[in-house]
Amino acid sequence: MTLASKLLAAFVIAAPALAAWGCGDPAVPPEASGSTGSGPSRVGSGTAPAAGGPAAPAKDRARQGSSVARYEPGGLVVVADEDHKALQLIELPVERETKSVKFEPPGTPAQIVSLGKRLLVTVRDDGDGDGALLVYEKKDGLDLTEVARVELPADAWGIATSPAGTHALVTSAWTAKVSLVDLTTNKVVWTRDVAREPRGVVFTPDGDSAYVSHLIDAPLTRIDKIGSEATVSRVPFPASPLRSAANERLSASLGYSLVLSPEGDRLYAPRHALGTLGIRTWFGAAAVDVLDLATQKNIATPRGGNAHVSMIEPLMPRDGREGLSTWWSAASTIVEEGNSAFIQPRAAVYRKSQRSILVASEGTDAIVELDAMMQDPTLGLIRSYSTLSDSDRIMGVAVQGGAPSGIALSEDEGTAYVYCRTTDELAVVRLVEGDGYYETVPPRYVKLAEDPKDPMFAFGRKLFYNATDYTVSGGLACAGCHPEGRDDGYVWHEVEFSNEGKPNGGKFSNFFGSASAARHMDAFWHAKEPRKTNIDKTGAGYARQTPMLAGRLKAKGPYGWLAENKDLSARLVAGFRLHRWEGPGIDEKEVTTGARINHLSVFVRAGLTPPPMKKRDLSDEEKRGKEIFMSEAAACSSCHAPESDYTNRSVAVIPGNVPRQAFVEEKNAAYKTPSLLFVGGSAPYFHDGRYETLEELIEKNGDRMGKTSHLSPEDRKALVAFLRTL
Amino acid sequence: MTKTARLLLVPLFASGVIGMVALGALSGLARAQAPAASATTVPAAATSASAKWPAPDLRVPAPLASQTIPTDKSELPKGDKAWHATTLIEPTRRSHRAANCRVFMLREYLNVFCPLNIALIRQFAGPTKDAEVWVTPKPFVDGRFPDLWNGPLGGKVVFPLRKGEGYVFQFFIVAEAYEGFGVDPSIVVDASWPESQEKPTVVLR
Repeated sequence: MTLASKLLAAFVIAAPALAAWGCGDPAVPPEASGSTGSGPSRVGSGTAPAAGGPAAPAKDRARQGSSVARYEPGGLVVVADEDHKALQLIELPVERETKSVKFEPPGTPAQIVSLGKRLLVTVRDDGDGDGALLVYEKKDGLDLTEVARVELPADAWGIATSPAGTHALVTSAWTAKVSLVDLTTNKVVWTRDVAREPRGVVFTPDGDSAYVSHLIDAPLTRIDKIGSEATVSRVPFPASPLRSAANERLSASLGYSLVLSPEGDRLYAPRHALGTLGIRTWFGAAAVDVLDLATQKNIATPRGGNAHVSMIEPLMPRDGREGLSTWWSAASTIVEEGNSAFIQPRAAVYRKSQRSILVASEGTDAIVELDAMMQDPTLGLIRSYSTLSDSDRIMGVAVQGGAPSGIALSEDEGTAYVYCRTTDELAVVRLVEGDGYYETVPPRYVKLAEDPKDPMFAFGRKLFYNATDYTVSGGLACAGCHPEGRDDGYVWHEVEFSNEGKPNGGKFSNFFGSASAARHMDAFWHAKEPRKTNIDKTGAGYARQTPMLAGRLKAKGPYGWLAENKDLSARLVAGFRLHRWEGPGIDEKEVTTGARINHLSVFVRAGLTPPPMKKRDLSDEEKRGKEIFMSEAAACSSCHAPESDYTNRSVAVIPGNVPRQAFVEEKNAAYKTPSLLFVGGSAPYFHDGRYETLEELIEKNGDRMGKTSHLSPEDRKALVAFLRTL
Repeated sequence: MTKTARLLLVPLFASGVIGMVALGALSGLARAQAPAASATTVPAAATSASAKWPAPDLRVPAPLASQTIPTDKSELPKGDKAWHATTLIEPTRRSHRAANCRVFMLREYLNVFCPLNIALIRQFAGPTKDAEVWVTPKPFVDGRFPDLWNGPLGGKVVFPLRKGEGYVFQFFIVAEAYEGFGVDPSIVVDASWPESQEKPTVVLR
């Protein structure tokens, strides 16, 4: 054999291995070449090119997880019922008498992917504080057999499989990690640190890269060279450019899901845009931001401030008539269309046959169908399918079909299987084609679990996720800023208004997502009625970072950043008033308001699950950190008292408290010492979120909170290491 | 404004109405031009009575995706005459709400005309230099509100399709309100042509 022919032979042998990551994995499991699915299609992935011939097209096996999935081999729909630590198995087709069968995995399931014969399930907490990926196959009847268990960082949540079906990426939410799992060996290939609260994950069609969405902030995480180095980078992706002020780059929250177009060229990110301009949306707006994968830019064109307008004469101001200002929806240069298309996007799927996206609107008990061809699909609401069949007469929360939080489509895309979390049901929603007015068929429900024994807990859970009860808030549920009882990592603007000519001085306070939003709404609504506000040229309102709730509400009180509320009930009432745009005064003595307070108090204390934390002994470095924390020299523990969840609940004036940009100074403010429980995962830090990391907080603290300026670099590192264990 | 001045302005509005009817009517372009020529002598009331919704256009629109769009920038077409004998286009997608809108193409420009009771059109996004919006109102006569409910009103947006650019417009229609009439949001015109795409996407929804 000549050298040339040897090289040629070597190349032929090596070619499959050198082929693209998604195309050349030699260890494709037997079923990987014969399954069908509804994921994005791609020709050429999954099979190595045959020597001497063209690459054989393979079935695309890219899948994305959801809390509900069709498990084709079993003829089932499977629901990850996190609240009952169960997988609920429902046989298809769903009939009137269909019942679910409960299967108990070892831990708290979060998402499911059906991949050939296998059912992949992520587990947030296996009981020991670890996460896991469980691999099941169906046994006879309605039963599953565990065929593999892969240990993962705690709080394993989102999952996506590669186009070849040979690997899975799993996001671990609280521990902020992404892991690659080889599904042929059921071993972890690598784990990478990413930004806080990674949730949705999707492979690119070539399988070489992946994108990750986050519950907190707008940028996406991109992972390249998945098959080798696995490099991690952040992709700037400001939210909702059509609804932002000029030159502002908006933040976002609730990035639970990502959806890829069938062509693999557009990535859809349903989320909540924070700080958008609007006449009523103090809290922001619905957004489906579309990333052009070729250019890494948002498809949407930024809003223009002074673009063309033409109107009929009666709308123009003349002869003492106000003109257009009367009609607020058209008078503003702000895009109002679709800004509440959904509230709290909890899950999404692409409906290929209609070129649309279905988004689970947790806060409004609906599945909304949006035009995927538009720059921001929220401008193109095709139809809203209510998952609700009945609601409580007093509270306005769902009796059936509450808080949709997962969607799976039937193979013909004519039916959506929707997991309704607060009523413990699978809703079977009949989808229609095209647009136009059409009274949709009411959903059919399969009950997954009995209602909670404590009706106060049950009502509290519904109220927590519901955005339509006007007493609790003005359009956004508790879960909108406290997803899963955690926090949105956002710093809100608390703006005070007063008018001495009004009863009680016309005082009220509201939250706004940005200084621009506060200025815009104030100018629009109160042009004729000047009020005193804490809005000036430098900023708007006082900085109020969203606090985490889960596991931090044991104390009787006080609550609030300034300890202004003596107990949890008082804080809830304050929240009812803050989280809206003005609105009616909320009377806590009114009987139904009191009931809401009681129900919510029960649920937020008993129903919000704290993040999983693995119990273990402290390392030497962490022990050193604890010594520093407890020392009189550092004096951390004098305020952050360990015996009461690391807070003495007293207030303290922080010296040198210069306000951050876009906020105003809060003179002589004394802030309540916050609990340090789960502090390692709840960045950013300080009441105004000015520090991105604990390291930065300690580095820049000086001696304002306790004394840390004297600490050596090693001691600071040790202190941070200890804080992360709390 | 004096009554005389209003009366002088009436013919101008009237010619605008008729001009837009002509724009929308396609097969009836020539037919619509004739009254426009004599509109200066037609009283406002008569104009209202005689003006009709554009005649249905029986041509089959050509898909936008089938069109070759010039890459060189050209000037914004001036006046309604420029749009005579242009190509009728089917946008990438339209909703039922936009079923009666008609889209014309001239060089790289699109003209989207919607025969609704349009009160206002606003451009929300995209360059303004080569774009325009135009409502064709009934005249405001003798200080009285016009008959806003029975048409014909309509409006158009004109903009170019150029790689790397995007546009968002919204039509607002006349609606009932406390003070006689108000404004409701209606059709959104959404056009985008990302650098990475071969063809633009135009959605009327």
